[in-house]
Amino acid sequence: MSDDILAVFNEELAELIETLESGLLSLDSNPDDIEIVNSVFRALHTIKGTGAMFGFTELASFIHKFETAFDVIRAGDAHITPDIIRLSLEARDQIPSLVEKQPDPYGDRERILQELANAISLSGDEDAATAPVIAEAMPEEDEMPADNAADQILRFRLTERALALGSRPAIIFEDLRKLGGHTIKADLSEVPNLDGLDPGISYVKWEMGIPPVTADDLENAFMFHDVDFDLVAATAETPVVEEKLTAATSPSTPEAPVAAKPVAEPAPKREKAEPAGQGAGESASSLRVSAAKLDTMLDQVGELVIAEARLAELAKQSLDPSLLSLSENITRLTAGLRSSTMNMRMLPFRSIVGRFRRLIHDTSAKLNKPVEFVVLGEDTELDKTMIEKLVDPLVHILRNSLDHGLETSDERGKTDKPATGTITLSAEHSGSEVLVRIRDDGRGLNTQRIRAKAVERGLISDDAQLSDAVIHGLIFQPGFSTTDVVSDLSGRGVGMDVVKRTIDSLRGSIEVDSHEGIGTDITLRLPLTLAIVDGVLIEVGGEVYTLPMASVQEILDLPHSDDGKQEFLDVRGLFVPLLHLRDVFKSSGPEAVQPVVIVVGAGTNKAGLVVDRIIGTSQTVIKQMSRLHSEVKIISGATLLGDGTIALILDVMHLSKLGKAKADALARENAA
Amino acid sequence: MNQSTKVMASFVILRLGVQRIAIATDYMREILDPMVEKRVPGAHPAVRSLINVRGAVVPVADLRLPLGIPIPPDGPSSRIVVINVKIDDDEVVAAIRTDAVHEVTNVDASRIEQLPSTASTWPREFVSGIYRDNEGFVLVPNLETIFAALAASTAHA
Repeated sequence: MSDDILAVFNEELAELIETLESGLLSLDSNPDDIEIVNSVFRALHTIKGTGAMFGFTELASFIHKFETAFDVIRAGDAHITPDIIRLSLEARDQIPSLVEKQPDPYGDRERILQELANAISLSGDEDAATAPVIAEAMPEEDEMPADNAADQILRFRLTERALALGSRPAIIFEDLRKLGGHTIKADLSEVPNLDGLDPGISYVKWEMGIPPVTADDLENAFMFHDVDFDLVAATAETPVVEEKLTAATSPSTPEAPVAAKPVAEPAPKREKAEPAGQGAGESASSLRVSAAKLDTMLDQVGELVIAEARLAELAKQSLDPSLLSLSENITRLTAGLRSSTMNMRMLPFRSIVGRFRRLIHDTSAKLNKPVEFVVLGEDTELDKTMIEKLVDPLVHILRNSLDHGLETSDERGKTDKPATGTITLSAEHSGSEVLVRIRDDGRGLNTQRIRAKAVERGLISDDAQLSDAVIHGLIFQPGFSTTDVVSDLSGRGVGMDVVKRTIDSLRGSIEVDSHEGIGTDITLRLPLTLAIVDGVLIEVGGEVYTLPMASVQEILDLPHSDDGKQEFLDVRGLFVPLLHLRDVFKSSGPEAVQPVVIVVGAGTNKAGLVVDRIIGTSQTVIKQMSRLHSEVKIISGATLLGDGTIALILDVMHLSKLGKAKADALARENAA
Repeated sequence: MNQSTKVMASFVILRLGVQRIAIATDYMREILDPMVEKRVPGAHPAVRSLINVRGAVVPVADLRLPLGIPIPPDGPSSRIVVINVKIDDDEVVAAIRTDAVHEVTNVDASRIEQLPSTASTWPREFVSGIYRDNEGFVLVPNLETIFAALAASTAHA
């Protein structure tokens, strides 16, 4: 098999495993949701199918047994129990080794499957009295309500030559039944009189209730059959002749007395109707593109933006009206192209959340600490590169929250906290930043212990006067760990400093807010590192700089003052520290008559940047600074202007931190 | 002379201040006339600016500082030499400010000698060798150690 095809298989498999896993984990909390059971079943079914197609017979036969177990649940003969979830997850973990064709020396696979089968039969026995037993072979129409709100009506018929080509309706029915189809009705209105009947043509149309399925699933079911089909949401339909499933398999019912019209009207060929079920249709219309191609495209759009800026500049100078209007048109198109390209690189936070659910599930079982894992802002979109780099830090932090943060149920029982702890993971946009927050309602950081440890490790001096926040920040120092027992989860003191290093490399920052006995709140502030942003061009000492538009809160004139340089500005009652960029940049150019204050930053980290002049706005293609300038913190990158000169991009996050440091210093001075 | 026993190294000869230096042609990308440079506030003095090399933003390094060569004002023969250099295994494009670019020449590798331990004019860790031609000494700088040191020193700036 060529590597290319194998790569496609692996990629698809990874997605299916993800679907499978997230399905299993949500079943943990909603064991009765038949929709999720169906989606798990479909994932298994597809893994089996593609696995067999690509020659992974071991995998296919393993999954087949796995699938059989879920078929029982799907049929309602068994109920989800925590044991089933645990074993299913174990079975899921076998998939990678099966793909790598690794041997199974200890018979783990067989054991898991056996235990899974046992667990299922056990759960079936328990619930046998209450669970509606539905015959596996043939669902009875009365027991399967057709007007189930989520169900859809699938209408299909064999095309004219399908029977001649060997299609057998019975096989189609079997496939559809696997998708959950039920309540089939036959429409015989088009069956001609006996003398007009062509035995090679199927005149019967069928109508079937079916739970939400994707168009792909239907395509699969109909793959080897020439079928026209149509999927509509369920409504009260005028009843047609009802038939038992078995009877319907005979396509040309001779005694049907209806009008003799050959099937002539050209039915729309394989029209795909979007399934009404939310989520089921999501995968239907997406396209897999390699990230490298997107990166190339983004680079090209970046070059285009620069060329466009140059064109606009030339057009302005030429004063030629037709050139001006063309250039404006191109500006607009470029802006559109830019934002759609950027959008393609954005991924919802959801895309990495699945593995955290698994992590929490497993860790909580291992530590015997029941925990509720709440995720907020799953739709928050982040840059692809950023989201990938966030996985490891978040794993570390979540693991720490569970291991160190949350107390055991017994300990929690002694306080007025609920026995089950809560860990909340959230992501939100805030100005030009993304905030990713991990909150637990555990015991909080032990300030005294951290302090003692830091003194012992020589990180701070014995008599240092430090705020709680500063002390809490010490947990991100290399080699810092307060847990004396090293578990296989955490406690080695590696991890949190890795978190800090990763977040630093993303030009982000970490904030810790912890209260003893109440819980810990860790916030990762990350820039929306998009390769292109809208920028505000400013002039400081005759030099041009740019800063991201999204970070600008407001723009004010610097009020005249008689007593020297102002260090703070009263903005409607809020004291904003001023940073005179001429001083920060050690500029030597001519001073401005009327400096301008740009208030930037978010939350409490506000700063007023004093600049000489605002020049205008520009689309800014961010060029990373080389290693030689990697530690120039006030600059986050460089960009090219329309005339080819370079403008440096200010790192607003760092500047507002400088402002905060200034405000804190003043507060201390006043307190002293 | 027996050609086959000689290993020739191909160098571009530049002038920094009064000192001629040789940079292996493998490093070279291009040679440019002086252009508008963008000052980077807070950067190390030896890498204080950026230039635009056909759409790429490239840092300009001044090797005269680490090599301890006095800096004359820019003259008509000043050039910017763009090179590829590895900093801890990362390929970096950087520019070097030079006071003149003379020629490309082949040098018999065996003629390049270690810096004598008594020579104190230049920092030994930044020089990989030295050789003599008709006009005097030519210095072969160690670009890797110089740029690694520049990257490290900016890290503490």
